[in-house]
Amino acid sequence: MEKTLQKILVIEDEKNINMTLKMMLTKAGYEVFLATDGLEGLNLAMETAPDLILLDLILPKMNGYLVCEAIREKWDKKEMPILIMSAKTQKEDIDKAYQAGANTYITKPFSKDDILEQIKEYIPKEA
Amino acid sequence: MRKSIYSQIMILFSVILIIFLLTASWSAVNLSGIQDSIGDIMSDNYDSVVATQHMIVAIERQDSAVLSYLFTEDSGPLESFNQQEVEFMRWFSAAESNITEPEEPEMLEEIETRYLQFLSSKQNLIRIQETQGQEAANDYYFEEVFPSFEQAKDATRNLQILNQERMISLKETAQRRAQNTIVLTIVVAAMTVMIGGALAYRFIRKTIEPIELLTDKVKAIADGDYDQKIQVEGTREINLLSHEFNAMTKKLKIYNEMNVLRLMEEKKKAEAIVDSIHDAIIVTDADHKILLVNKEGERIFQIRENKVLENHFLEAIKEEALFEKIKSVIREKNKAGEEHTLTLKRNEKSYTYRVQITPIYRKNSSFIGIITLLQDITKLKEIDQMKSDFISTVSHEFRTPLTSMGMSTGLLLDEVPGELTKDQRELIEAIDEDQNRLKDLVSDLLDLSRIESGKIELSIKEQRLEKIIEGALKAFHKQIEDQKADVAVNLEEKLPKVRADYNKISWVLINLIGNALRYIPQNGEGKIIIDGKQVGPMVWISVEDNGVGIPREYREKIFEKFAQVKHEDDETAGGTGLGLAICKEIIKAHGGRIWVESKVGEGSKFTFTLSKEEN
Repeated sequence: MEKTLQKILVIEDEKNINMTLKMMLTKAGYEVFLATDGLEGLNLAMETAPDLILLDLILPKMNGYLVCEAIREKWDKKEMPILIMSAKTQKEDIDKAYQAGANTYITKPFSKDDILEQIKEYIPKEA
Repeated sequence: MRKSIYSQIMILFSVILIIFLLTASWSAVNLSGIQDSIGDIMSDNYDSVVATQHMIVAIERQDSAVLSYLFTEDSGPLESFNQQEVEFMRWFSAAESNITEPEEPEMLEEIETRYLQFLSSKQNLIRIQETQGQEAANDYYFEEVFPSFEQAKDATRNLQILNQERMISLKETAQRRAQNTIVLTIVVAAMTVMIGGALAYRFIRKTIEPIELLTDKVKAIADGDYDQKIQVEGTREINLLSHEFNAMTKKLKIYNEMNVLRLMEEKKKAEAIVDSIHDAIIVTDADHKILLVNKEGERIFQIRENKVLENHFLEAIKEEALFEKIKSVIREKNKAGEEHTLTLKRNEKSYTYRVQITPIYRKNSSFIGIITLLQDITKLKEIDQMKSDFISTVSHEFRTPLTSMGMSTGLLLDEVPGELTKDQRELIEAIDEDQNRLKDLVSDLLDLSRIESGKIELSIKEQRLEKIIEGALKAFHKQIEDQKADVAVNLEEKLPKVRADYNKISWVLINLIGNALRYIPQNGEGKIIIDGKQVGPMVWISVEDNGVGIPREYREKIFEKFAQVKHEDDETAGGTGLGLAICKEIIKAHGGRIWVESKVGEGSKFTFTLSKEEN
């Protein structure tokens, strides 16, 4: 493969989701990095500079809002879209996420197609 | 012992009677005195006058007889003379036997003497005539007979005059006496009238005074003042009456106290009942004046009943929202018993109350007041909240595993990990189907808990109903075609726009249509009619089907959470059992109502209402 793959960083402490996401995204043609806590996620983001981040809100060590804010210190929404995936459905949580710099908010449970559609919207695959 | 009215009256009348008797007898004595004087005049003096008159006539005739004897020398005149003498003597003796005046005997003696002289002079005349002749007789007559006649006549006339004068004087005396009597009688009568009047007045006053006093006291008792006591100085009857009156007052007082005690007892009982009710009760009248507040009411509004009685509701209880509700119940008289909830803050804590406002009417339907009952449902609310929180938490906790499950089955079915055998695929498809159902359930539950907790945000706009219906039907396009269902939309002409949140009402319609499609015959005979019409300020939207229908016992229940109609053939027709509960919450949030009419075996008709656009 000549082209470098688009990089997606998944920061999520739920290992089943991590596993299925990795399998699904890899299959869909992305390079996937996994982090299982906020701090690790932030470090990985700095190291790998992914094209898109899938970020959970409830995370060990450092919560999703803080991770989001920290990344926005360096990259803006266009440079590095952040998709929040959370079981939180309260309006306050959603608003807070947007304030922290999220591009969009996907509530769990979502399907394979839901997430792929959203990813495509933010980082269209070059033809 | 005091004199009785009877004896007083007797004494009074006796006194007056005696006065009258005295006056009468005095008048009688006077009158009889007058009569006596008149009698004297009549009988004595008059008789004397008559007698002297006769005597004068007789003596005149005798003188005439003497003269005619002188000139005729006949014996005839002498006979007449003798007759007249008898006449004279008769009247003289009559006068003699009727002496009234002290001078009379003397005068009678004088008359007798003169008369006798006259008689003897006549005898002498006769003798002289016989002896000395006519001439001497004539001389003698003029010298002796005539003067003696004159003297006798004068003496008699004197007696007559005396008696006549006496009569006059007696008449004057009688007149004077009569006049005196009249004056005195008038004076005495006037005095009698005055004394009698004064006595009667005094008596009447004395009798009436205690009666007036008694009347005042009775009036006071009628007004409820039982401390009246009479101390009357009066007659025996009045005294007896006041004594009995005082006894009666005492008894009345005891009786009244007993009654008051009994009433107080009853009142206390009623108050105790009202107070022991755990719900707050406030009773207000038509003018919103407070008539009653029970213990719980005092507690939750932090007021004292005795301080707020008769005060205006808002003055005592500064809850405008509650007051508005009470006012609206009075305004719309038949809106009785409508329930509301009210949140009150007390000691930094919120309490929720179910408020029931009921107007009270008399039998003749006149309005008395309003009972406002506040039932503390904070606990219930808290339990409800806990339930909602629990559901929310549980469903929340379902979300993450469902995500990985969904993606896993998706990956498996996409054969990403490897190819599947037919059996493997079937099994994974079953898992996928069920996890999808779980996902629906979780998302419905979350919707519901969000709506219930008031977190639903409606963006209400004026919407064309046909647009919402069209949109909803679009979602079922394929299913309707597959089922060959007959779906008709009948909207009233010129149906006004409705005030609604497009997405939420779409959701409701989708739910109702989805339900209908689920229950109608699947063999092409299924029928759905969507209807829209204006009823007053509302628009009624109904979804009618010819499905299996809903048994009566479920018609209310189906709008509750997790309620599903169990049919004989299959247990449930799928779904989460939350759809109608959410519909109800959405419609409620719009200010409308939703209900169902149904006949088992013939179909069901769900109707909900929305406000029409404002003109």
